[in-house]
Amino acid sequence: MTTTGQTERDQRIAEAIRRAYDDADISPPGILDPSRIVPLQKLLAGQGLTHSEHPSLRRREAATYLSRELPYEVEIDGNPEDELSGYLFANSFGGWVLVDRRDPIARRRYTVAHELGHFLLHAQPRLAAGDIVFSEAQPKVDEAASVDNEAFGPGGEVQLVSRDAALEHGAVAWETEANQFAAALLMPADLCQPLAEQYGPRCGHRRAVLAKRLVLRHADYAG
Amino acid sequence: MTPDTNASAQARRDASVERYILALDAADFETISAVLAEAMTDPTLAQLLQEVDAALHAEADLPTPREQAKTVRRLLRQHLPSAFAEPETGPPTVGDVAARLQAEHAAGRQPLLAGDLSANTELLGNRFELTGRPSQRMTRQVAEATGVQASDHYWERFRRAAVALLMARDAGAIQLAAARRRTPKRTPNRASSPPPPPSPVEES
Repeated sequence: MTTTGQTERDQRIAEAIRRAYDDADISPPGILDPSRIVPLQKLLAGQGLTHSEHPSLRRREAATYLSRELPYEVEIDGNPEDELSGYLFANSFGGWVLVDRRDPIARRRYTVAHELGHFLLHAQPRLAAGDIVFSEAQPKVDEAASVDNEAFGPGGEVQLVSRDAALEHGAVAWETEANQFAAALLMPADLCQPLAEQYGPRCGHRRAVLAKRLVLRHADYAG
Repeated sequence: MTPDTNASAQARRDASVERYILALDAADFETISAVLAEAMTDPTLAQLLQEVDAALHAEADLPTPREQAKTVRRLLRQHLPSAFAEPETGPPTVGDVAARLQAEHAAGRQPLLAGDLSANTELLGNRFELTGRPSQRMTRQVAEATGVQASDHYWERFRRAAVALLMARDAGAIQLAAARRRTPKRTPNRASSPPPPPSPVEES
């Protein structure tokens, strides 16, 4: 059963995905495309974002890298030794998505999609309304544990800085929305549904097993 | 490059480094300038000169220029925050982005391919202002407006550099917000108490 809130959220996410493709001047991959890989690089570029992969991403490395690229010191709250899977730093002119290179490719793509979701759904409206910085730290997740538990692990930490220097933390619901955006972007229902119907009877309907089979199928196309 | 030309290039660099050190001792700014100009097109020489600078600074027990600049910027932001409340400059231009790429190339951080380097040189000094979102659409517009031919890799590098320069436009507001966050609010009692001793770092 879906609620009005869910429907409204689904619509906003679908609209954000459409906008991402429109701004990048490309179309979503279709069911007949030989490669169904979602072109994340182009989608980021369409938003004025850029991404950078780091051999070991901690809060300290993220702050050092951004301070080198920008003409001011970027300070990131929290323990500088905390390991991150991703970090988004954006203002009204553009932004960076930093990713931990040690993560598996699927995880890195998910991280980038998650941060793109935050940017489109949460950062852009707030930056347009006058906030000056939107950042989000995505803590490292134990992949093995998260697959076994079928959980996403700890949520990210959104911070907004307004012009009067007030610091605000993002709403808890934003994490759910960014996760849903990433899932809908990377695994569009119109592509996955036919595959799920094809493999469901053979693989069973346990989510992790089906997901792994779909990933393998996806890898066939990518290779 | 053959071993002979390698050796000759290295000998030329060694001679330039020696001239640079002697010129520093003699405060001969013309020679310093000439050697730095050579380094603009020779990333290896630029690296050697940076090592010389670092060694001389260490020998004199001085902070590096980068550290000094950082201290000055921090003190200015701390004591004159209102001076940075608005963007200090207009939007970056195509020429500004090309200059950043040129500097990264000269420093050996991210060398450009020969064809892309000449394309970048064409863009140096171009005053076309970048005001929109630093997207691929923007780089296509720049390519069309300037007629410059370069690889896709170059235009992505151009876009990334444009992201950094455009984001820097908010530097004033961001620094001001950071300074406000760091500055503790004064209470009547604390305002009348004597000021804390100055930090040794700030005095250096």
